[in-house]
Amino acid sequence: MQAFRILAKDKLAMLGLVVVVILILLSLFAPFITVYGFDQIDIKNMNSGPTLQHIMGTDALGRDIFTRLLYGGRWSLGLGLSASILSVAIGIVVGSVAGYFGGATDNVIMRLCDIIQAIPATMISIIISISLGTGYVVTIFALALGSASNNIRLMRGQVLSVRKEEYLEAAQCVNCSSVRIMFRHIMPNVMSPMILTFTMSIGKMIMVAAGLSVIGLGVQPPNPEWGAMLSAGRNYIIHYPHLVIFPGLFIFVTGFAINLLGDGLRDAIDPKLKK
Amino acid sequence: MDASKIHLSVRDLVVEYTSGGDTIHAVNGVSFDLEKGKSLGIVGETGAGKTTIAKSIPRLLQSPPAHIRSGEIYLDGEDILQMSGDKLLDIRRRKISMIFQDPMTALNPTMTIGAQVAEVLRLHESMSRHDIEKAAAEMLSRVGIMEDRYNEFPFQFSGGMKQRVVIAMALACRPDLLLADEPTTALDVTIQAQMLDIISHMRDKFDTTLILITHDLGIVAENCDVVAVVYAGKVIEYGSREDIFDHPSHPYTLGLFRSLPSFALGERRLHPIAGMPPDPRYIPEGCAFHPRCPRAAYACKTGHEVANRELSPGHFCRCMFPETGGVSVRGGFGGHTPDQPPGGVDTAGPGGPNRPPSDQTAAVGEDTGPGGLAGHAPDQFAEGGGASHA
Amino acid sequence: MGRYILHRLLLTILVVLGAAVVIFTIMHFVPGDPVEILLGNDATLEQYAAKRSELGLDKPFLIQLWNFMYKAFLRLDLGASWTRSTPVLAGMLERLPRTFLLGILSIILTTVVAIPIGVNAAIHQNGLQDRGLIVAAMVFISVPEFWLALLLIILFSLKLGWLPSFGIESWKSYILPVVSGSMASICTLARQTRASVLDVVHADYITTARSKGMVERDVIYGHMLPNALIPIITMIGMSFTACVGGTVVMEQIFSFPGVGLYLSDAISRRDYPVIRGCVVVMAAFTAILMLFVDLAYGYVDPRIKAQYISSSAKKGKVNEKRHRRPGPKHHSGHGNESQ
Repeated sequence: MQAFRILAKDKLAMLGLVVVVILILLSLFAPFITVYGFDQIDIKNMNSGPTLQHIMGTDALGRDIFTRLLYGGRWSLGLGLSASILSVAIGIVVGSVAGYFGGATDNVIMRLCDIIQAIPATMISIIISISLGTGYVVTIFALALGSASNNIRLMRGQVLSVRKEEYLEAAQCVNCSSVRIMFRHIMPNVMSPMILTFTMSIGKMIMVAAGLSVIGLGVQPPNPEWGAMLSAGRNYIIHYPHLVIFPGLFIFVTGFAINLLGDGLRDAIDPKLKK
Repeated sequence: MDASKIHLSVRDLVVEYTSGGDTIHAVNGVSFDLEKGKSLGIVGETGAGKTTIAKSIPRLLQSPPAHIRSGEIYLDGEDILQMSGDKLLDIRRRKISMIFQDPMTALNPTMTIGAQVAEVLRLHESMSRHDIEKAAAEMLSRVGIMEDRYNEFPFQFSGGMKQRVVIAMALACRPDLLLADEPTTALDVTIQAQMLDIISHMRDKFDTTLILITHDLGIVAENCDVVAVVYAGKVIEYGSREDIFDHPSHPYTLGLFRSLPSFALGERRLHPIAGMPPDPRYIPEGCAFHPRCPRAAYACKTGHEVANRELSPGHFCRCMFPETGGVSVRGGFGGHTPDQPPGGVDTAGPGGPNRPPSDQTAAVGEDTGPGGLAGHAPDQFAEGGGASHA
Repeated sequence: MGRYILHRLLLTILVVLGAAVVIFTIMHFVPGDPVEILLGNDATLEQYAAKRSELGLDKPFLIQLWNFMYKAFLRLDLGASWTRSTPVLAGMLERLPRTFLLGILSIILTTVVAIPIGVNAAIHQNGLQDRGLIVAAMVFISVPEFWLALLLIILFSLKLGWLPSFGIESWKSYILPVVSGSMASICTLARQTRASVLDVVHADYITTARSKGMVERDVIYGHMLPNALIPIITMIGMSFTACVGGTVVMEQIFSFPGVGLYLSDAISRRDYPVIRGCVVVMAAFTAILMLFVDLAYGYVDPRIKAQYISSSAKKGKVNEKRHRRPGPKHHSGHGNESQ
């Protein structure tokens, strides 16, 4: 609670939070904000630059970019959120198992993490996407698995450090079950670093997803996902740069807002780190 | 004091630290002169501003937070505080060296000790690399570190050995002025003596002027010609070693001696000075020591600064009611005058039982003037001389 | 020290082998029948069976894995491209120097720019430069690299016409990929440098160095930076890894004929041996990079080096060096005091 009070005083973090909330609201209430549908074609205005009618222009099929970006928020923010949640969830589950049971289990998991961390995260996401195919849900899995090993390590480290604490022994003495001990005593200690990595990774996930779209994996057009739009716009960059600029701007603003929030969160959770 | 011999002269030095909205008054108008080749001991409690005084001389204070508000520091007649950057670097290279309090952190952990000593020589002299290394190794062997350890790193050394390296570094450029900031505080007692031996041996050889900062009066008695007692950023008593140890005059100085175990050997209990050193943000008006002083009178608490009185030639004291009788306390320091009782002379005082100092303070607190104080004077500090100030 | 390097090298080899197994396993489950993709729909059953056994796909998974590992690591044969029938390794080696040059240039640019910026910010903490860095870092860390690349292409290639936007024509072709690929790492590294220098800026040994009469620049680069270097090196290693991962997207955007483009071409043609080979080589590359970073720690910090020596020295073998080994509390006396 102390952390939230500190966070509430951090103007930049609050700015970030406000921007994120606005982006979420914009995407949720897109139908009330724009008069176009996200796949509605305006034949008279194909590839038009920003005009009064289409404030961010239209694409090659005459679809309104602004509208698509609003709807795309559902895809992109949803992708970032769910991939981050999944990644953290994998981290919590696998990391606690490794940290709590130790021994051979721990060894196998940690060596696997060593190996996976030797492969750049983008590469992991690439080969998983290839194996599972392109598409929204597959991309979420690919992103989550690519970044999970860090979370596993983090969780395991936290569990190990808490395991040494005496109150855990005390809890075992009065016959609490393993799982109960884990959740009652360990979770509160690992929550804050997990919340932090979760927050910070949302923006990163959206960026990596956009990168995957560029090389023909990940979410593909005609879905109005920001990365997919950006990657599709690349073919028209010579004459219609707005097709690239606006989707990228949305990704950037989202990432920026989330980073502001995440930085504030880190300072709030661990004021010692603030320099 | 012969003006032509004066090597270092500090005039009205004022240093403040600002952090957040607070101003910490670390040094509040310190002045002293020091002759070439002499040694000055600066004594005082933790937080009295001793280190700040020392670091001000080669301008090593980090700014911010520290600011030298005013004052002059003359070394050989030149004001260090007005010097240009280059000139200052030259002074640090050739004339002033400093030994720092904590040998554990004073050495760069990523450099070999040999390289750290050689660095001093490299900045100081224009010699070939080979000669510099040779000279550095020689310097190290002088403080008792063998040549085969030249290429080792600080973490491979014990605390005492590190302090030797620090001393070797400080003396490598044969400074005119050596500032030793509690050079032995962090060390074991057995090693303390060795370190001081090394320093004084070196000093004899190179005729170095020394400023020794310590809270250990024993070290001062053995090593210093002149003593300055510092309290709340001011020199409250200044004089030769004989002046201070044979005729301590300021109630604070007396209190320092009384709180020493060696001094109090003949007594049943020690007499710590009551109260705490003042918060350097809010230094009391008048005499900063008055809240803890057994003889504080009304005049001590008003806004006027207490004048610096010259009690005898060269012996200054910032007190309205200084002790002027002969209270020698030298007997308390091991072996100086073995025929004296180890407890020191007259320490028990005519007043018989010593009341706890806090009681005294309370009693004196009701007094309104020097006359009233005299009445209570047969307390702790009034032995021998009686109320001679009245 | 030699023992330690050997130990680390062995570990690196194991990690690379493990990575190859993991990659092969994941790729084994790709959807679609590769033989069908290769031969098209009008192949006869005999042709199909022949191709299948030629590729070794009729064998059980473990045999296939063994064959792959054996060929890859003992024969240095990563198989042949399905679509071009050229050996994967040859295809990679042809392109590797260009990608490598790109990576090296990025790292040099990152290091040369980021460290002075970070140091300056730390020295003038809360000053104008410091605030500038914090804001700039925040902005550029949030900019997607390839979007920045596209913006730079729009500005410098399309509008101004100063720099080429694709391929390799001259040294100018390297400018945009290097700059756009380095911006984020520059900011991250500068931020890390600032934080680590701030940790040592008030250290006592810095005051010692100043008291020697050193010029401030030498104090900073001779005493502060070496002590702040460990996290900075970690960060440089991490940016290099990110760079390896990022080449795929960057080379695609600039049509830069390196390993990354080779890989993304293979992805679009579903040329699995090429994809597998590229990822394995890149993983090996990253692992070796991490090995160098680890070894660099010992070079930078004598305390870590001493731990290498002591950890690789056999237990129970007490030699003189070991006696002086730094324990966690190395300031306890070792009997060196007696003269």
